[in-house]
Parts: sequence; structure tokens; C-alpha cells
Amino acid sequence: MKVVVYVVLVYFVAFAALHLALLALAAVDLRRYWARLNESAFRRTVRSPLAPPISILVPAYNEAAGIVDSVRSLLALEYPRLEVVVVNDGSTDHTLDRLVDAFDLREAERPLPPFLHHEAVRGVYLPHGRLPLLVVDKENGGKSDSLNAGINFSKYPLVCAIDADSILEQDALVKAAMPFIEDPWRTVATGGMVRVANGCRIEHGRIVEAALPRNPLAMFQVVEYIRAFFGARTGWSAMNSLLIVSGAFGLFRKDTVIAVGGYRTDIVGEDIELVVRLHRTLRDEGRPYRIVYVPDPVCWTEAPESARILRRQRRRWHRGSVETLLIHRRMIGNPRYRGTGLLALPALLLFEVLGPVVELAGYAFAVAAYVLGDIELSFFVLFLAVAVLYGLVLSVGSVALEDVTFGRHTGWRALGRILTFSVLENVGYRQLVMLWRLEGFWQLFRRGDWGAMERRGLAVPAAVDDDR
Amino acid sequence: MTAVAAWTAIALLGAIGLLLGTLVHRRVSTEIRRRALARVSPDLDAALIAHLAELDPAFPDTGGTAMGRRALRTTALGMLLELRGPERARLTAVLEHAGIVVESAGHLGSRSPRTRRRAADALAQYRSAASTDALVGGLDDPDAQVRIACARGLAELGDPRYIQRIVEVAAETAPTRGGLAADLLLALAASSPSTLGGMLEEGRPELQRLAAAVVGELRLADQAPALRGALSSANDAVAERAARGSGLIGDAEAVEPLLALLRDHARPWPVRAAAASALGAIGDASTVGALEAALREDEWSVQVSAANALATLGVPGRETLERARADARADLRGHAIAALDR
Repeated sequence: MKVVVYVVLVYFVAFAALHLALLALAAVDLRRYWARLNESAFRRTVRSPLAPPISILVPAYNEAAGIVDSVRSLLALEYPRLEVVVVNDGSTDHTLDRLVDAFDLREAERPLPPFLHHEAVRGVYLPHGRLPLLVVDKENGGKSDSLNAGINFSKYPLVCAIDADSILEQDALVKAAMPFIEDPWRTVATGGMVRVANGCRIEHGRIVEAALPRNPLAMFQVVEYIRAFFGARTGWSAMNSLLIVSGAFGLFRKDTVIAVGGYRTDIVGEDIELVVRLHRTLRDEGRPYRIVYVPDPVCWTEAPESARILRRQRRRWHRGSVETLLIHRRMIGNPRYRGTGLLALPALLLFEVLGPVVELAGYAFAVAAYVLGDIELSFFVLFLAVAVLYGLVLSVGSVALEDVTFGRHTGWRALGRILTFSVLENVGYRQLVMLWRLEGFWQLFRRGDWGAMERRGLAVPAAVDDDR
Repeated sequence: MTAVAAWTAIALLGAIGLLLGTLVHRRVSTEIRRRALARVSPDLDAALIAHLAELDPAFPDTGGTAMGRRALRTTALGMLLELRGPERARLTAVLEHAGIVVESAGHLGSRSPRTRRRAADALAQYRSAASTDALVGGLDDPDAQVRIACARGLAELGDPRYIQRIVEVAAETAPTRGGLAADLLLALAASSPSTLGGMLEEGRPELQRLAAAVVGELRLADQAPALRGALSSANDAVAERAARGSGLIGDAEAVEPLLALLRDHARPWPVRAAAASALGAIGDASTVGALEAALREDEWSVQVSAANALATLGVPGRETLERARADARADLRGHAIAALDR
């Protein structure tokens, strides 16, 4: 029994060391980014004729209620040259009609580009005027399938994949495109920080006032997002080992995405899988590249406020990570893939995919060891306290980084609420999320999807919970 | 074991305390600074606007304080990109009078690269002749960002004595800092467009590519011959940018080299597609035959560019597309219909 306890201890120490290192790297990287943000480069880029044009891809399934506002706010973003490509993924509501009416669209003849495979296109619509908008109406095939269609029909060299309900900051594209402008030879993808929009005042598809949600589940997710985006992703990006470019906002070089085959449509974690495939292909080809995380709050998304939807989301996320690891298992621990193979993927396996198993087993074994008299009560309590306190160090550290850089949640009351929920998440919420993630595992086993993953098409529409 | 856990818990509590302390300290100090700025900014802003609009000849008074200068500098940096002509010159004079230009020039000697970068970036925007010496000194800075910003400042000032040095900085930084070097070239294009022509003729490929992009996007027709020369560059990225640039300028004399590019099947598709688009933009009807041949290829992007180019070439181009619309090949029909529909 003691051996198991020691294993858990070693695991915990390894986890702590890695995440502290990531937090430290994030602090250095954020300081560097913040210093550069104050320069005039961003403002000049908005006017530069040399900024690479961007196609914004908006996969939409039954988004009739908000699609017009979303497209209007996207068309009004600050960027020299952009087009918006909406892909209506076989919606059963009036998504297409709303777009046709609001933007005076007409059906146009367009040949089917051959770059990526996707479900059949029913029609292509263009505005009568010069609005840079294209609507592709296709059979339902899911979010990845829609993104592939969007990539096919887009005309610009950079594509920005977002969710239909993503709300972008006015300067989001400028900030996300800066790495492409500064280092056009190597940069292949950039991801931006995603924030929780619940509680914010939203008007016509724009965040008018940032505020915290009242719903406790959404508040827990605010803390999670701050920790994930300010701590972990900034740190991984500093090592060029970023594995996730959020599906809610990511900018890619179109030719590279096409070269690696676009989004896979037979898995649920298409965003993480594409990034891992980019790492793999580019390393295999020996091509120098960068996948950069822009530590700036560029995109807002609605977090689930009900346990039912949050549970579904977490199960899908977990399943997506497992699927990606299975597909790219040869990269794990392989020095050929440098930081991605030696650190990021093993960390994903050990601390994300196996995390729920180890943590929940750790609780069970600790209780059993105490009952059997293998450990003392004082040690058990202290160990739990250390685990909670360590989680708090990460949370408070990330909150501090957010506050001293971008500080979108001003006011002492907001800070107090974030810190309070950082403490409270350790009592119940964390454990619940662990259980849901285990369910993701279980779903894969039970449905026998392990082998079918390579072949089966996923006809699941883009759901509200695809906002990782 | 218990003792280790206890000490770890104490250490973690200490770390949390430290982080919270830092957080509170930063928040309080930021708030104090914000309030101090808010006290002086409104009056200064009003005085500055009155001065720029020539309603009040007196310079805004910063009170000689660091906070006053800071407030004025912040407002000025926000306005500099928007202003042109005499208003901009007046704003530069205000900054010189308030001692802000001298202050920024002094910061170029700081040991902190971050301070030097910010100072160089600010000086590049002030466009003050008083900063020339400091900017020239900054060209030898160990930090590349400082060197580029200083070179941009000198390019903005347009003093011909420093063009060679500016070109050296651009050449040195283009391979690794493309965006910043492009900014520098954009500034240089305003004061010395012929320098960009020179870069196109004998620069390194990275620099040639940027120069071709700038010459094309800014439609610097005087530099069209240099751009034409770059069409035959062995570097595909340079040739592609030069083709796009020739199209943007509408350089009729570039038709022959563009046709050669279009027919060169050893070139990758982006180069040949750019050549087809450029031929359409130039609008020479004699290129219809070559574009029709490109339309009949198997490379999708070249076909699209050729079809769209044909659509802009008047009656002969549209007749070619009408014929393609009735072709046995489905892809050809599709491209022709789409191009005619545009």
C-alpha cells in the first residue's frame, strides 16, 4: 500500500514541478509580450498594406438567432483585408435565410475547390454589393467538416477558425496576426486567449462591458480558463510545444493546413489533433516552424452554465485528448519531436489523460492506507492540504499574471470573487470534473471507438460546447 | 515525512501570501498612477488640442513635472499616427518644447533593452530633427528592435545621408524580423523610393521580397523597371511578389516576363497564379491565348487565376470563357461560369 502512496507522491511532485516551470516561463513570456504591446507596431499593422489578408471561417449550425450580429461584428473588425466565410452546416433552422435577407445575398456559381474533402455543397452565396462575405451552404458534417469547406472556399493565405458564437475583440486579428507578420517564414499557427463571456454585457455581437458571471459553474470555469491560458499555454508556447489552439479562435497558414490534410472529421478533438499533426509533419519534414500562443484576451465565448452541458463538454474534451494521443502515440517520448515529443505529449498523457485516474485512485488509496494504518492521519491531512495549497499557488499565480497584464476584471470585488472560487473549486468541483473526464474515457472503451476512430465519419453538428 | 509535508504546506502558504502581496501592491500602485495622470491629463489634452487647432498659440504647460510629460507623451503617441501635415509638425514642436524628445533620446542610453526599445519607437514616431543624432547612435545598438526603430525614425526624417545605414539595418533584419523590416521599408518608400528599386536589383532574397511587396502595394510606378527585373529572380517568393506588384502597378512592359513566368512549369503554382492575375490586371488582350492555355491546365489555382484574368480582358477574354463554358471538361466549365459570374 505504501508503494502506491509513494507513486502518487512522485506523480504529484512531477506535476507540481512542471506546472511551476510553466508558470515561470509564462511570467517571462507575458512580460516580454506586454513590453512589445506598448509599442506602435500594432497600430501601424492595422494600416499596413503588407498585413497578410485573412479569411475568417464561421461554421454555423442552427445559429439563426445570433448569426447576423456575429457576421456584422466580424466584418467590422480592425484589419486591413479580410473576408468572412460562413459555412452553413445543414442547419435545420433559418440560419441561411437570415444571412440572405440581412446581407442581400444571391446564389453564385463557384467550382468546388479540390484541396480538402467535405460533405456536398448545396450552394454558394455572395452579397450583391462589395461586402467581403461568402456563405457556403452544405450538407451537415460537423464542425471540422465545415472548417474544411471554409478552407476550400476561402481566398486568403491565412484562415481564422472560430465558433459561430465566438465574440472577438476589435483588434483580435491584428494581435493574432502579428507573429505571422514578424516571422512569416516560420509561423504556421497562432492561438489566442479565450475568456468566459458569461456575465459580460454584450450588444450587437460585441463585449460592451466585461464582468464576472453570477452562475457558480461559470465562475469555476473563469478560474480554469485563467489558469489554463495564462499559466499553461503561455508556458508551452514559450517552448514551441503548444498542443492546443482553441477551436474558438485560431489563425493558421492555409497552405500548411491543406498540406497536412485539414481537419479530421472522424474524431471529436479536431483542434488539438490538427496542431499535433502540424508539429509531427513539420518536424518530419525538417521544416523550421513556430506555433505561437498570443497571451492576449482576444476572444470571448459562452461557458456552459448547466452541469449537463458542462459534463458533455468535458467528456468530449477528454475523449479528444485520448484520441489525439492514440493517433500520434509514436510521437510520445520521441526525441525527434523535441519539446512536443519529450515534454508536451507525455505531460498530456500523464497529467491530463491519466490525471483523473491517478487523482481519484490517490484519494481511494490514501483512505485505504489510513484505514489499514499504513499512513498517519496527520500526514494524510497535510498531504491533502499541500495538494490544495499547490493548486491555489497555480491559480493565484495565474490570476496575478492576468491582473498585472491585461486585468480585464477590474475592481477589488471581482478579484475577491475570482480568488474565492479558486479556493472553492478544490471542494467538489475539481473532483466532479475528474469524474466527468473519466466518463470520457469510459465512453471510448464502451463504444469500442478505439479501432473505429480511423474510419467512422462524425455527423455531429457543431455544438455550443465546442469552445475549448 | 509528515514534517516534510508540513514544511511544504508552510512554504506554499508563504508563496500564496507573496503572490497576493504582489498583486495588491501592483493594483494599488497602478491606481495611484492612474489617478495622478487623470488629474493632469484633461487640462493638458484640452490645451494641446487648442494649440494644434491654432486656437491658442501657447504650448501646453506640463508644469515641468515627469507626470505632466508622461501625460503629454501618452496623448501625443495616440495622435501621431492620425495626424498629417502642419498639425503633425506642430505636435512635434510641442514635444520638443516640453523636453520630451530630449528625454526619449536620453532613454536610448539606458541599460534596459525594454526602455531603449520604447524610446526608439517613440523617437521614430516624433519625426523630430532634434532626435537625429540619437537615432544615428541607435543604429549601433546591440538590440535589433532598437536598431530597426532608429532606422525607421531616420527613414521618416528622410535625411539622405543615412540611407545607406538604413539599408544595412533592413538587410540585416529582414530574414529574422520580416514585419519590422517591412515597416522600415514602408517608411523608406515615402522619403526615398529609388532606394527600394536598388534593393530589388541587388538585395538579399528576403529583402528583395519585402521591397517588391512595398513597391507593388504602394504602386511606386517609378520603380516598375526594377520590379520587372525581379520577375526573373530564381527565388520563387521574390518572383511571386514581383508579379503581384507588376499587376498592381499595371506595368504594360511587364507582359513579356509575366508570360514567361506563367509558361514556366518549373515554377510552383503560387508564382504562376500570381503571373496570371497580374496579366489580367494589366489588361493586355494579346495575352488571351496564354491565359487560355493556363485555364486548360490541371492546377486548380492557376486555372482560377487565369479564368478571372480572362474575365477582365474585354470581349476576347469573355469569348474564350464562353467557349470554355461549353467545354467537355467539367472543371473548365466550372471555372468559366464562376469567372463570368464575378
